[in-house]
Amino acid sequence: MNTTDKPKVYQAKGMATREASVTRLALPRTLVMGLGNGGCKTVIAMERQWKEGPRVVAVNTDGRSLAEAGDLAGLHIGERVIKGLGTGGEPRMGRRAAESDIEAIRGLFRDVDVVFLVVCLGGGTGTGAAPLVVEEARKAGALTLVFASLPFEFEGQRRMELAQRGLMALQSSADAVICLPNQRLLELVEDKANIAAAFQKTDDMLARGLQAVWCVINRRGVINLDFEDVRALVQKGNGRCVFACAEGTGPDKVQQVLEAVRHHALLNHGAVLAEAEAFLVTVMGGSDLALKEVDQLMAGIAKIGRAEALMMTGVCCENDWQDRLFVVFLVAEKKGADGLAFIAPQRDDEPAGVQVSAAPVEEPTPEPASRGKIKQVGLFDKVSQGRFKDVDATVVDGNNLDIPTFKRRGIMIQKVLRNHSS
Amino acid sequence: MASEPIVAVEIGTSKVCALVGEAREDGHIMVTGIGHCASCGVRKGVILDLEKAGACVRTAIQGAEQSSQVEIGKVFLVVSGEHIRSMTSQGSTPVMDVKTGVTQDDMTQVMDIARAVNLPHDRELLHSIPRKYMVDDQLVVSNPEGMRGAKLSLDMLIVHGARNVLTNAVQAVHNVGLDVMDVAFSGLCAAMAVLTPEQKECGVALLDLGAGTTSYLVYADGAIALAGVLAVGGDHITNDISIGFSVSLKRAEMLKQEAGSVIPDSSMHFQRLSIPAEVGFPACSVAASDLSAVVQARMDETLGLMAELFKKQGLTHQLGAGVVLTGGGVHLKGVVPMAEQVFDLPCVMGMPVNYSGMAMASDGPEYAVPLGMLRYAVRSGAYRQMERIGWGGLFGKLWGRS
Repeated sequence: MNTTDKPKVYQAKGMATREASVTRLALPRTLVMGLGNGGCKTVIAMERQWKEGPRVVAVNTDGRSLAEAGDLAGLHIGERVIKGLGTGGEPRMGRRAAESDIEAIRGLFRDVDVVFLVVCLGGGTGTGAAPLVVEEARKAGALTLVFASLPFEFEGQRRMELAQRGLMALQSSADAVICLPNQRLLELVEDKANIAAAFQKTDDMLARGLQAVWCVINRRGVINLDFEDVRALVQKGNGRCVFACAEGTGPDKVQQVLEAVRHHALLNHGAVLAEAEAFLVTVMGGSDLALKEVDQLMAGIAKIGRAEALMMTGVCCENDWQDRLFVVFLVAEKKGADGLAFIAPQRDDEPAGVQVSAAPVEEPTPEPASRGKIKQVGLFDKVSQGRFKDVDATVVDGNNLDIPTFKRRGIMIQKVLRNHSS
Repeated sequence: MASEPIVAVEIGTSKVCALVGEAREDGHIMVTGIGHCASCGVRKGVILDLEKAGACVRTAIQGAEQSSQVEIGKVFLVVSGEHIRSMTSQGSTPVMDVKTGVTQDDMTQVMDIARAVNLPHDRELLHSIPRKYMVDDQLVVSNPEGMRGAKLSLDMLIVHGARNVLTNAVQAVHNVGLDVMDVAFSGLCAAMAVLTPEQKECGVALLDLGAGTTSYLVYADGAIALAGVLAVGGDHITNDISIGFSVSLKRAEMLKQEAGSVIPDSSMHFQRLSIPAEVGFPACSVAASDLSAVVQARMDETLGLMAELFKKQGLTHQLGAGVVLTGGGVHLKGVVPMAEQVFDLPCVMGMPVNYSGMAMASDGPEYAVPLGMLRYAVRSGAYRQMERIGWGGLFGKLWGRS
């Protein structure tokens, strides 16, 4: 069915970027990359659940975790720098590892249009290397969507801090970041579940979300959604986005799903949905999915959300899913929602991302974009007003409108690709 | 019968334009000459450099003289800029003779009273437009003449601007040896060019998406309810592109005009637009989706600010005929559907109504403002005057309902 995702024969890269898209395959070529211990576990879980997915690769500094990956493609980075052991939870080491094997990482992004990066923030490899990896992916011309999980509270304050810095760095470099705070998962795990099971659960959740978003983008659904929808959604939420899944079986599957949404821990018992600026709903069902059911479901969901919220809907059917309804929500959280402590940026005197040296936010960028380098225009860049610098500023409600809107709204753009040859 | 030629001059942020027109029967206007010149020394609708702006006016006038074969000495000048604001003002007067009812004298009297607002000394009255009359506090929709009652009241919209900015604009035209017969606000001119009486009756908002500014004028209940300027225009989009992608303003303008779109087109997800090299800027390529994201953000914000303003003024529900968009910014791909989304009202591109002659000028929405100025001049009758009006009478003139 989806053999189209597997790379076939591709043109040389230079040609692909310069020539018209006519010669290219219609579907975006997707690469799912797990980075770091958590990220690798997730992609392994994903590969296990789901056989006919996109190209998957696991990248880690720890050789042992890659060994578990089985037949999954793996890339061992930083061997020379850290001798095959872990990073010891040091993002700096993670970054160095990625830097030392940058050529190999770059190689992975050849002929790829969309990169899904899965990373569990708070450790060394994922947190440190992710911004660099994203940068490389964007340099290669790929869109980047990052799935990031944040550590449980019991993992300690330090890991949480690192994770938050890493998240900030990712938010300012990736096209879109979808965030899963593990702490919210606690409610989903039974009291007696052991720690291994809890982590297993987070991996599964991330894997499912990933799968769902991949489906959104790639499956030719009955009602289709694409990457631009996902990106638009994430931008609505200022790059903050959470996801949740709900499943129902049997004749009252719609009610089951709606009930699950109302009590979903990841959606803060429906509150996240109720306050959301925008959300994307992907309905996956079997070939027996009735229009009426979808209608009931969407009406129920619309009732939970705000009337003015932007709702995007996609529906796709799997032949082998009889009598089963799987609904995935991607929710752009309300701007400045108070429940967002878990990703509230650290604004102490220490500039963000000091330890995460990969963070583009702390890179001083005084020289005008050096040739060939992609630079992200982020929220934290020095503000420029260009031609309006010598006239009175247009200020409305405290906003200086002469500053480009995309900067004030924190919309990330790939800067430019300089053509050396021409 | 052709009348004597009327000349309208607009010193815009992107272009200076001079139009020559003649009044025909039934308010029809025939455009007989056009001259324009790329503008310099103007930002956000305000003249920063008198000399440069004057030179542009001269070029535009020469072009207009050549194409219309008339010698131009007197012009009607369009003014714009964020300094232009509107306010409402009420006045009332006892009806002099209760037996005959309201007379023309009473109406003049009440207008003078309503118009006599205390503007700060640095402000100048531009237009005072009667909105509605009331006789003994009862609303009279149209003309109150002959109505019986003891008290006549008038609700007026006062449009005013910064005195020095207006003086500068007039001075720039004087400097090239032209007399300014009258000045008018760009939003009002655009409305006169593109709005139909039906639209005005239903309630309509006009947005003139200019290069330097966005002027707006709102009709509600058959009368002008709001007028003003937001100093954000097409130049801002160009500037955003220039900053976002590190390209020259010239290239940014080109990108905007050729590929700028506010609706991300799914066919261009992975497309890149190449920009040829020029001195100081190497060749490069820009992701089409990024370009539209930048343009879309700015346009969404500008229209959003307008929508918010209308909402705050309680006008949104009175706009039965929706929003009419005019000015060069309308050419941006997808701007009308986007406006429909933002305002949640029907939106159309405003085309000049009841003009003929020079095709280039009378068709496109980008000439709505100077075309409207021609109509303003005809309606006010000022073009018949032989002498230029002095400073005292130049502003504060009355413009009746249309």
